[in-house]
This record gives sequence, C-alpha cells and structure tokens, in this order.
Amino acid sequence: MMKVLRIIFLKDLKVSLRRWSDLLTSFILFVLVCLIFPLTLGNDPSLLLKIIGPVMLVAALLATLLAMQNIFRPDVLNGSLEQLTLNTYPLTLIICTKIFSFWVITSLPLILISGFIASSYYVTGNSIFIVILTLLLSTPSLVHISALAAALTVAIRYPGALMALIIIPLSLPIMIFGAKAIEFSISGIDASAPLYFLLGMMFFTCSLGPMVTAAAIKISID
Amino acid sequence: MNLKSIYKLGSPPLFYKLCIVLEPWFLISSILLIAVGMYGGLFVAPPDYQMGDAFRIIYFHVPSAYVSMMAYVFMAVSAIIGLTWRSNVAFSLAKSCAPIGASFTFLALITGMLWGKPMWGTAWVWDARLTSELILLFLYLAYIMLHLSIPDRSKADRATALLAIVGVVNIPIIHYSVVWWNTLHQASTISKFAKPSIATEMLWPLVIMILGYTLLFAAFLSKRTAAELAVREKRTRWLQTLIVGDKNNA
Amino acid sequence: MPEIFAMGGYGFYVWGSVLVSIAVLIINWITAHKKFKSTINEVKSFISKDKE
Repeated sequence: MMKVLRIIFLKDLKVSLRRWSDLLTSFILFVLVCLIFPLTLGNDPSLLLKIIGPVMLVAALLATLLAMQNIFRPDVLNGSLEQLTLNTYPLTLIICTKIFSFWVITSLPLILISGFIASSYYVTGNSIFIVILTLLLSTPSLVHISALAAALTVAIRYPGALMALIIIPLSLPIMIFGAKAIEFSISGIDASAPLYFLLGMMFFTCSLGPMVTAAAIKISID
Repeated sequence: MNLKSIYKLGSPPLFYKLCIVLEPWFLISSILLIAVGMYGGLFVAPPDYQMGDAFRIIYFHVPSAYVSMMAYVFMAVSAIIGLTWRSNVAFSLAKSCAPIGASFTFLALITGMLWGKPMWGTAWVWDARLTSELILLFLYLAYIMLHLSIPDRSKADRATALLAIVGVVNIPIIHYSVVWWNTLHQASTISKFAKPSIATEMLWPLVIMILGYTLLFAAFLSKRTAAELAVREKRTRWLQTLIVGDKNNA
Repeated sequence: MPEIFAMGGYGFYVWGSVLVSIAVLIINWITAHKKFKSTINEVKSFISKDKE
C-alpha cells in the first residue's frame, strides 16, 4: 500500500513539475498580491502592520485556488483518475497523497517566501515566525477545501468562478483565525489561541477532507 | 410512526399528491399566524425598556433567521437521505429548499441590519454570528450555482448533496457563536430548558411568528418540490394521467 | 395613529423591516407559483409532443 502511495506521490510531483509554468503563476500571484498593497498604500508602517495578516491569507487563498484548478482535471481528461477509482486501493488514501503532493508543490514555496514578504511589511522578530507558522497551519486546510471544490466541479466543462464560490464560504473561519493570529503576534499579545484553532481546523479538514473529496470524485466521474 | 409509512413517503406519486394537497393548508394557516403575530408584535406588545419600539423588529428578524438555519439543516438531511437511498423525492426536496432558504437568510441579514443601525449605531459588524450567517447565504448561493452548472441531473444532485452536507458544519457555528465568543449580537432569549428571559406579552407573538414563518416555508417548499418532481417524473404514467386529467377537468 | 407610525422614533427601521419582510415573502410566493405553473405547462407540452 505504501509503495503505491509513494509511486502516486512521486508521479504527481513529476507531472506537476513538468507544468512548472502553472505553479510559477500561482507563486508569482501570491508574491504580487502581497506586494501590491504596500505599493499602492504608500509607506505607512502602522497601516502595513495592520493589514499584513489578512493580505497574506487572502493571497494564499487566491494562489491555492488558482493552483488547485489543475489537481484533478488533467487526470480526468486522460482517464487515469477513473482507473484509480476502479481499482482496489482505497480512493481516500490516493486522494490524500495527491493533495499532499499538491500542497508540497504549491504551498511550500509560499510558506518559504512569506518570511521575506513579512519583513517587507515591517514585521520584526518573533512575529515573522508566527506569520510563517500561520501559513504552515492554514495552507493544508485551504488545500483540502480547494481539492473538495475541484472534485465537485471537475465534471463541469467551464467552471469559471464556481470553485471560488464554493471555497470562500468554507474557508472563511481559517481566514479569520489566521488573520487574528498574525494580528495578535504583531500587537504583542500571545497568539496561541488562534493558532490552536488553526491546528484544530487542520486536523479536521485533513482527516475528513480526503474522504469527502473521494466521494465527490466518484460522483463527478461516475 | 411505523417504518412503512416513512418508506411510502419516498414514492413520487404519493409525495407529489401530498405536496399539492397540503400546500393550501400550509399557506392559509401561515398567513393567519403571521397576521396574528404581526398584530400582536407591532401593536399589542409593550415597548422594551431598553430598546423602545425598535425591538419589534425581533418579530421579523428571529423567525427568518430561525427558518434560514432550519432550511439548511432540512436541505442537508434530505441530501443525506437522497445520497443513501438515491431518492428523487429527497433530491427534489433538497433542491427546492435552497432558493427559499437563501431568501430567508437574506431577509434575516437585512432585518438584522435595520435593527443594528439604531441599536448599535452601525448596520454591520464583523462578529461571529453575522459573519457566519453571511457564510450561510454564500453556501446557499454556491449550492444553487453548482446545481445549475452540472448538466447531468443525477450527478448534479449528488455533487450538491455533498456540498450541502459539508456546509452543515456552519449551522452549529451560527447557533453557538453567541455562546462561544464575545459578540455584539445578543445571546438567545428562548431556550429549550430554561425559562425564557423575555416577558410573556412579548413572547407569544414571537412564538406565533416563528410558527407562521415555518409553515410558510413549508408552503413554498411543497410548491417548489411538486414542480421539481413533475419535471423529473414527466415520463411516468401517473404524472401524465394526473396532468392530462387536470386539463380535462379544467 | 401617528405614534404607531413613528414607533417611538424608530419608525423607518421597524416599518422598513415589515415592508422588506412582506416583500421578500411575497416574491418567494410569486416565484414558487410561477415555477410550478411553468413546469406544468412544460410537462403538458412534453405530453402532447409525446403523443404525436
């Protein structure tokens, strides 16, 4: 079983890396959205410190949304996902591995660059670590919710903004608590309460998400 | 209530006829209850010592908020039943709940804003309850849009059923948000176990309005479900004889 | 009469909520009714086309 999952993980990594322009697009989107705010708002450190939490999380959400459009569609179009649903390995674990490989490819670069972006927003010291930690804890949940939305819309030819319409209501709690965590740490208060909530949401979505996504895949592929 | 009668409800002819028959009763009783509740709430109930006459908006805000949440739970339960038993009746019920629930959520938000402006000084505040009610509106809209986007009907039913079930997580968040967090929105006045913290003359119009709104929701739901079932079952003999029979009689 | 209309100074908000509620409920009823009528007509035309 683990061998199968390892094969799927490496294959997804390889296939995604071949489409590196797509991944670069979502990464650059993240960086650009984060940088467009200081550029347009001017050089006011207190204002920038106030908005960095929401901006980073919204940018991460948009980048994830953009990147996750390709998680299932190519495999559905070339028929490999249908084969995966038909064989005896549990689809839940396979989907979990796929989502994990997508998280590694799309969200890890965001997390690594977030420290530099935070420092460009005049964030100092311990808060940079909290920003990175917030993104680390919130991106798995975002990725799992986006995978569910992608699975629900994979049967539609031109989904347009439908994925966004499904993702944004479901991900709002993560956004709110992530922004609160960053805001608390910047104003010096202990940020552990929202971070624990993000951890809880991560466990919730990462455990139940693949199961629901697998059911959605089975429905959409039929 | 034995199991057989519940199973019988899953049969489209029986459910269709039930909807057609019950709908006028739901409508008339709900209009009566709402009229009585409105009269009681707007004219008979004494003004609140803190909020004055503006508290009367409670008679429109609380029932619509209650129905908005109940409609979503109803939708999610119908979705589960539809997924488990592949039942056309359950999927028609779920699909019909969505636009009605969305309109009641919208109504709850608007009346809440009209109540908040004089009371809190601001029409909107981003606290837990208001935000989660707004999320509920977007969940309804996402459900409707997803249903419209998938061309194959049974695929659309099952995919939107999954979406409804995933979104039901929001309902406890809305309900308990005033308990878990320090919000601007006030706590519940009516509880199942404790004595309500509201005077009796103010309470009875509220209960009547909640009942009236629920029956009105049932009336809208039965009409829409009948329409949806008719579309799905248009090739069956029972529906054709029912419709053609009507045409002959009308 | 005027004091009922003014509702202690909050007249706009209270009567506004009343009107919005009644309007939304009536619109709900009209759309449900229209949908029902149009589906019945659609089924009737389907039946008559089927019979040909």
